[in-house]
Amino acid sequence: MAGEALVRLLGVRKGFGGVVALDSVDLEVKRGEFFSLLGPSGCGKTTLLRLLAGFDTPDAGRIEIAGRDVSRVPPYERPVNTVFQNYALFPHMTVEGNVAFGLRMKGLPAGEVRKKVAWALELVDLLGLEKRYPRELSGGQKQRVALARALVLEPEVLLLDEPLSALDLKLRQELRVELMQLQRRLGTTFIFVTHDQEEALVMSDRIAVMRSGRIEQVGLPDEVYERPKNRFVADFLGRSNFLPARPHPGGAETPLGVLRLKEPLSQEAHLVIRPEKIRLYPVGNGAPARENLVRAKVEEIVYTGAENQYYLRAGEVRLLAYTLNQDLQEPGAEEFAYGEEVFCYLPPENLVVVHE
Amino acid sequence: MNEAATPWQRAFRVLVTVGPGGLWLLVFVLLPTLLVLMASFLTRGPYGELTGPWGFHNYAKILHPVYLEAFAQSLLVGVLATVISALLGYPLAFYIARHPQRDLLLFLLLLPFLTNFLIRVYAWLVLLQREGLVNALLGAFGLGPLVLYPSFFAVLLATVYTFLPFFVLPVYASVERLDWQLLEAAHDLGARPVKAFLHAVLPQTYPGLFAGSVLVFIPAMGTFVVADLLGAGRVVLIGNLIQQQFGITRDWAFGAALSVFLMGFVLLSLYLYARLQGERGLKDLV
Repeated sequence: MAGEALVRLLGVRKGFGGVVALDSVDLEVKRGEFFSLLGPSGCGKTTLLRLLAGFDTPDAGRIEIAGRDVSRVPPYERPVNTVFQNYALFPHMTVEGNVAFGLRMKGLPAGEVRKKVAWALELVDLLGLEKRYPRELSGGQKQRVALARALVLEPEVLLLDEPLSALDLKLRQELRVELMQLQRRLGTTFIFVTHDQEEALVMSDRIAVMRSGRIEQVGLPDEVYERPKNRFVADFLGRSNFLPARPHPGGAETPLGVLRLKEPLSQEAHLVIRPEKIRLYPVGNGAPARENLVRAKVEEIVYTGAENQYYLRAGEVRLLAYTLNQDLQEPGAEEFAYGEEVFCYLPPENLVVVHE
Repeated sequence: MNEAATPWQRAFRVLVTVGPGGLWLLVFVLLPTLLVLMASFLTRGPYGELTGPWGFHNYAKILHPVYLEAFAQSLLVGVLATVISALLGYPLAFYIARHPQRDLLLFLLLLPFLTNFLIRVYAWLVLLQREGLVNALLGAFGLGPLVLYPSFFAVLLATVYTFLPFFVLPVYASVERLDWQLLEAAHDLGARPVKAFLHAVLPQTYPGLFAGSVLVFIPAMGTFVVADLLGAGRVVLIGNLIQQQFGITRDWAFGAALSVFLMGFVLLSLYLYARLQGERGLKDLV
């Protein structure tokens, strides 16, 4: 049943020897969601996951899973399972033994164990490797065993602690898609810890951005990306241009002049605009006479394949703008050279107001 | 390696690298063992010298009940010392490995080695004798005195005391390398504490347990000083017999046969023990 809160945290605090790892966190995760905890290292995301798994207990607050207070329930009695960052496979057991472990702990009869193990191994595409030991597997295969081992127990919530971080880029991208498909197919609630903002944006239904033991913003991927609540969120998710701004009758007064906004500014703040939202026009070619137009000079061009990244300077202000690397025959496609003067258009609807 | 190496150069390199170790093994292990093996087939001469005829007569003598009994005693000391060392040493290794001051604890564990072995065994004698510290303590409570010396108990106690560090150290090495996350993984998968320990922690320490058992069992089987001092003739181990043959009795041939028999027995039991642990154990043994 979608929409129902499956995991609920109320005022959860956790400290380690005087250092606050989690500071009064409230959070709800809905049943069937792919939920990501995103933040830099040391932000408390792993602590939060460990509290959910039951490896640590909160100093204060409540953790509810499926309506039951599990704050003091040991891990072996919780309806959650974990995929560990470095897999934590049992080295002295085969793939089959690892996947069957949890079922055997539950005391399931051998026939049923065999059936479920086969189901889980098929799920992660590992049939045929039953008799291998972890040391005989590649990183990606170990990852799949760890997944199968957890999923075979059909947990209410699957906790994933940066499960892709140890893999190389290409494999990581493949496994991202596989994880998403798996989650959709099973309908299991996934809580996914990552420091990789792209991973979080690509995979999640919702994201919680964390900093220093607090949750800064919770929202849909496009919400946290397009409408960051504060400067930290804007800075952590992708790259941004920041402009200090003061209220002005025409919108906001910034180092780039007065810029019109969608909504009037009530106090001093920062304006955020994503590099891909800035549109560039050649100067000589009759710039569109519009507001929010800034003249800048190209200082550096970075070619990344899919896009061109322009490092621009307008007076004292540095701007970053991306343009898609389109076919130059297409209308509107432009390329600029080092030292060239350009017009930057900052659309009012893409100027987001953030406070510190 | 440069490609122009002649066969001579290559032979020289092998000699330089493997040579010293090989020479050591040859002179101090292989040759003495062969000498003992040879002696075990000879006969004691009138003056204690080794003479002919050759034969298996020394081995036949071992089957005499007196010798078999000593052998059984040794086996009992070896097995009991190993089991007790395991029961004491395994938790101790965990305690040391997880203690914030483990360097100090390791030092304390090895501290007895700074004192001569004989003196330490004599110290037990002082503690355990009729007017010793233990009986004095018991007496204060109106108990005893117990005949703690000479006894099998005293021999076993001092044997365990002597070899316990040899059990703790390899287990400690295993515990230090332990992946504690496996314990969390086991809990996560529904294993209660005891089962989680048995499945996630114990198997990781098998190499240490194996090494520790071997390091206690072998010397405990062969020891004679402890039995000599604390058994005072009442506890006769195979080590005492061997020492007697080479000392008082001057029957080197029979002493050699006893040694070879002991060696064969220890090797066989090691092999069987390793077999118990499957393929991995056999590999560790070699």
